[in-house]
Amino acid sequence: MRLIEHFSVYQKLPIKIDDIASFLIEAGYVEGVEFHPTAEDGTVLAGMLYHVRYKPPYVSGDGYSTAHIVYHTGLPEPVQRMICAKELLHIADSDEMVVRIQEDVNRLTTEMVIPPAAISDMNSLGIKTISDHAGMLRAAALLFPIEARDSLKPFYDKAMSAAEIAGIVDLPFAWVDFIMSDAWPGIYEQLISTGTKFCK
Amino acid sequence: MNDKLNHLLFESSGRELRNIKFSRGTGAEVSKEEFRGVVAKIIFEIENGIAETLPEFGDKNRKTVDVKEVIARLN
Repeated sequence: MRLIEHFSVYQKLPIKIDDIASFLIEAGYVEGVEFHPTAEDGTVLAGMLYHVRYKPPYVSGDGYSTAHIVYHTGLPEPVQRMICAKELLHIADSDEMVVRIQEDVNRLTTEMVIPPAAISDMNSLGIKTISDHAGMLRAAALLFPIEARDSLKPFYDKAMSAAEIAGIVDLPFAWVDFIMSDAWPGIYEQLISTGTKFCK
Repeated sequence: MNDKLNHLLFESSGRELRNIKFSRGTGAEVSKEEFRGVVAKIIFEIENGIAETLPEFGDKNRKTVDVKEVIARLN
């Protein structure tokens, strides 16, 4: 089962980052996950997945895989959670989306430095870069389960504030407003229906 | 491109890249060289045991709120 669908029925919130990591390990996507908080220039990099298979000479067989999740400590915690969820989701990237050869890394780093506001045509980007940019939407869908969202929606429409909901899901206010908007169900459906393209 | 990042990712024995993805920072102007330099620095620190490393994010024991109970209170 894919991640977003797995967590979509969770009612006890917030979704814990450590539970997402445990799910990925138990499901066999990776053998270990390590977190690396960094204070390196946050204007350049907010987070990163660096997924490696180690094959030391003294280890027989295929070695072992570790996913290194890097996140910037200068960001508010709800944003750190979104970054970590996004990067954890990439552990399950489909073969089409993974970036593991030099040519792909070069293209991705070339396209990642373009500020999102300056991208006039998303289709001009490589599919692996689009998957990186769409990652925050997928992270939001993961951290705010759709069933909980639908349960809270009538109260949000009446008087419940984004701040109150943010206190439950531990997401940035702006993302809560976006997820509670009428546009979200369509976006969510699209994320799920295209899920096999992005995830194993 | 022949830089430190490619060296770390593709010319180091004992490890094989499976996937790498990024969340861009907030800077309006970030050069490719600057970006690759920061990524390379972090990977170098990870691979040499210099980076701060945590086995968990640290929210395993965090208290949760049951949405069903919240809804019941609001109704």
